[in-house]
Amino acid sequence: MKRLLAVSVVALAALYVLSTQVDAQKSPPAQAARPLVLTEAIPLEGVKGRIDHFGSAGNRLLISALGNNTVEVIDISARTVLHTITGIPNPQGVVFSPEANKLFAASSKGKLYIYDGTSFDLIKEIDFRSDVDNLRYDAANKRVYVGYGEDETGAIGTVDAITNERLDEEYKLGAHPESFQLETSGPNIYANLPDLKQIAVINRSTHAISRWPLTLQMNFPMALNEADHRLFVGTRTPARLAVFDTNSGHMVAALPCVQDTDDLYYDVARKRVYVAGGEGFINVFQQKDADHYQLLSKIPSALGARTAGYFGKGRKSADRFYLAVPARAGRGAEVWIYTVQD
Amino acid sequence: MRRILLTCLAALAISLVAYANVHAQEKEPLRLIQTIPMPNVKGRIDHMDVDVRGMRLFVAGLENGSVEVVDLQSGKWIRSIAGFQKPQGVAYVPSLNKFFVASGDDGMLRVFRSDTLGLLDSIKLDLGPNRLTYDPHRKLVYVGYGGRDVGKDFGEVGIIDANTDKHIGDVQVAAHPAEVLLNKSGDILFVFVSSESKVEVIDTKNRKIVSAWPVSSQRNGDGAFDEKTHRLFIGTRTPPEMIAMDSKSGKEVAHLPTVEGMDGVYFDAAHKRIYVSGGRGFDAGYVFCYQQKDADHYETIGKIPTRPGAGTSFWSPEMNRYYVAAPRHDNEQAAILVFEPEP
Repeated sequence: MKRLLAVSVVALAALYVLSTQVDAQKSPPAQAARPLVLTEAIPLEGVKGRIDHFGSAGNRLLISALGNNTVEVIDISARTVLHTITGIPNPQGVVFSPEANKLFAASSKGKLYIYDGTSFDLIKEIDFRSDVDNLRYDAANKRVYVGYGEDETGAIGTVDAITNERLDEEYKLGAHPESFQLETSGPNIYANLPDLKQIAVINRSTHAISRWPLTLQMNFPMALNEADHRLFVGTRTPARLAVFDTNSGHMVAALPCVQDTDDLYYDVARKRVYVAGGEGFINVFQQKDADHYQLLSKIPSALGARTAGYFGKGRKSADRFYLAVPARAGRGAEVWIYTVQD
Repeated sequence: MRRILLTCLAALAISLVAYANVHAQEKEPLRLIQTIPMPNVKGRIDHMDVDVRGMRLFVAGLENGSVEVVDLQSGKWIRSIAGFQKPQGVAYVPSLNKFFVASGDDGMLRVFRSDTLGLLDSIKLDLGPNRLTYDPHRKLVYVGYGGRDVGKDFGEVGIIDANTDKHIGDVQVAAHPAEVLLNKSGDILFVFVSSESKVEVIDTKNRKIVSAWPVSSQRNGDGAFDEKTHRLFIGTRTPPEMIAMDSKSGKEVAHLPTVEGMDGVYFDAAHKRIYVSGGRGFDAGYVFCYQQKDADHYETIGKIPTRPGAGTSFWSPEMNRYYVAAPRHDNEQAAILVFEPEP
């Protein structure tokens, strides 16, 4: 009984907070100067279970509804669900190729699914056999980089976005790669290998792979700040934002961070790092210089809201941070929209 | 304990019902009845005005450097008037057989005969002429201009005698005005200063600012005024919101999410609705429709898809039509989308 009461009280409190924060009409905010301001929630009707990574396709936001076996396509202007792609078992990474007008969705069951970017018709499935997870798109080569595999099969493979063919370019890593990032001004790929407590640095020109051993564990999300040669990594054990010098591989900063993080972004314009954590907070860090960081804000969100999307300033300064809030007691899944402010 | 639990559960149930209602199925408050292509119009389109008797729409082709004239009766584009640099605001004055066009990059307010479409006058202001509004009682045109465009830390609202086409005065405002709205008597002019997230209120008789109200969201670019409830409807871009403000006190009474790339806010008094169009800089455009339940309560009743980049719009109560300007996009010609409100 006590437990039921507690659950009710928590659910009620959560609903109250939400209704005051995001429902149709709300009171004016008390103060303006906050880095992320919750301004709206898009209901994801009927979406059950965990929500994984986000992708951006022009005016559309792509969301892997992992536990629902769907990819949700959202119009960011109207903030409505335009389309639901069904039939992807446990989708994880999702990327869009504007050049090919195709959408690529990764399934933890081992396949990569390729869809037409307009009709959302399935074009092709490519079998990687094991846990296809993070995807990155290299516009310069029109190539999709695919993190997949377990232990000895762990690798980053590639697919040509135009021909839909799996390519020979492949990097064996000896562990499942979590988040990885492609350099645009250099040949490197940085990849989190939590099972090996390492970050792998892959040189795409020479195919050489070097490894940075970590003192922190469970390194999942990652973002790259190429101009300052800094790599941001979220670790879960302990919960830290770790900052690496990409020239030396040295960790230059480690700050206490929200727990259970799965997505992390760098805001080039404001020199900030946004970290979403399942503990129920978003952390915003200010980069003072390449080696110095400060927690700017710890914004309460929702339990389990560990994945997010941030794609920088739009063409007309539509600077939004999207947070996945999975379905919970009494309330369906939602995407919360935060307006990013100076 | 049991009582607290029951109270909690009841409250939870009520909250859920309320939530479900808010997110109930939306009806479509606007119906697209006509699409009027405007051939050869390139780039962003700005503001519009309507000639009710002649059934024409004047459209500022901002990046095309033109004013386009559209025949609403036949549903056809008639002609293009060229020679502007960044035309933005248009004001049609039926009683004087004139229309005024403000163009930002040549700093001019041009006056045309509305029947022949011939140029009557060119009034040199300074850079940045944007929005226009007309006071039929005093026969004055108000035009926002100046500010950062001319290197000044204040903006201007220019006052033009519509009979003589003379620039007869100015009122200094905080920065370049993004929107000017006049009340029915013409005694009060609301000026939106987007760069400072502010609404300034001008007493037009004394030509003085009598109030300045902060807007809690940033970049208040467009607005509308409902005189009956004395509410200002303010479209902001950061975040995208429609804010209802008490025009007498400056108190914000409601905030609702609105469309990205917001560039047009209108109040339909007959249906007690607010239309907010947006899409400027985006690959999709929408009109968000809100129902005014009373002065302090508003509900989103529709999100009507328009076209990519379609930011600006115009509501004509006389025509009972809402016009949305859709710029050229890929291979699709620029067009005016004509909507009729559904009861």
